[in-house]
Amino acid sequence: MQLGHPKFAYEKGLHQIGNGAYAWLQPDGGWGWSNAGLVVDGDQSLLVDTLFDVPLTLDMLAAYKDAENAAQTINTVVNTHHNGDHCNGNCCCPDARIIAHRATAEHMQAEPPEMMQSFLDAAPDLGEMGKYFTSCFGPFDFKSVTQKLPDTLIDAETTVKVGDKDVHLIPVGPAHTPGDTLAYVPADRTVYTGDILFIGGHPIIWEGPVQNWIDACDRIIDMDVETIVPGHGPITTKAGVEEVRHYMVTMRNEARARYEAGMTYKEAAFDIALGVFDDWGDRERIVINCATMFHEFGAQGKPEIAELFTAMADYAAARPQKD
Amino acid sequence: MTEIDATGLTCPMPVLRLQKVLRDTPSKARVTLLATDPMAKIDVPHFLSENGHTLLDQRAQDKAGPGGLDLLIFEVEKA
Repeated sequence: MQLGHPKFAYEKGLHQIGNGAYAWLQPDGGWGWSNAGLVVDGDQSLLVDTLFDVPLTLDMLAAYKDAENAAQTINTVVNTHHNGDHCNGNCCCPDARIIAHRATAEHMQAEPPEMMQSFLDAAPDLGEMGKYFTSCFGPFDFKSVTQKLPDTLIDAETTVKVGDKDVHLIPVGPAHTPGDTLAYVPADRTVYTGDILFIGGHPIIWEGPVQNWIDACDRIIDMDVETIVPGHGPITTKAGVEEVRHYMVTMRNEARARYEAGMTYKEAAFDIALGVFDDWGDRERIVINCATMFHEFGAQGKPEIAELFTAMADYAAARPQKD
Repeated sequence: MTEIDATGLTCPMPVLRLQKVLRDTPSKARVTLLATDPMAKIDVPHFLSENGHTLLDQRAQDKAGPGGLDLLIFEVEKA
């Protein structure tokens, strides 16, 4: 099923949504290749997310500056969540106020870019898991990043102004991460969803519960929007949101049946037939998703990160993605 | 200073041993964890960071562990 918005090609770079709204896309939308957005009005500008490293973010900012005088100095950055591919580039906006959910700020501190670099440094000693980890995160320059944390924290739905435009910041987590936040711009009939939406790729349920994710999809479906910018993948429509919702409902049902049958999370991941989602990218994320859902169902503890990446490497090797 | 010998154990056991000791350790106390599983290079810093503890130092001694494995030494301060 084609889930991209028919008005927008899925090509790297700047996409003009109209009325001072933009998206920056990074195909193929896999690990670390995230999307971001720009909202301007008058001489004011707001970024929705920065990118995984400084060179990528500077390229994006240069394109924004070419497109809009208001982007010469970014006034405000909103981080939709704490994963580095949505906030590592904050340091490229030294004059900006950085807004995020309180849980996002806390988890940014707990997962600094230096940690990703130390994992990459350790990867050569970690066999197939190290190779897999490097294939996911090796393309990025974490040494370029100086972490810039949010200075304005929100705990509930909040509206910020960009010129005369309202940008509604709507916390919907924990789902993908603890602090997931949507940025909804009614005047542009646009919503930037962060990683509540992966379009054409398997979502990663780092946190759960899945019901929050389903509720977040319903919240988006109920919005008066024409353009939906996901955290990864092509710009989409409500059809794309419906598919992500369908994924969550389906995978929760599949995982629960296997949890109740006594399987381990890894056995479940390998056993679930991905069906209509089989051609979505990064299928091995089903491993993390099963681990998180099993914890939600009552399993003791969550696997450590090395175990999860080892299991994902096993899955990716056993079931290579078709082109 | 408490020392945890998790050499020869595969992940996630080194983290679980560390977690167990930290549970009964006073705030700001220091603990040394010894491990040989290379995966500990990922699991230990991630666990500490997620739980607000401080990794004071992390180093490796070539072939100094049992069986000639590299010995990984983590110096930890409890939050």
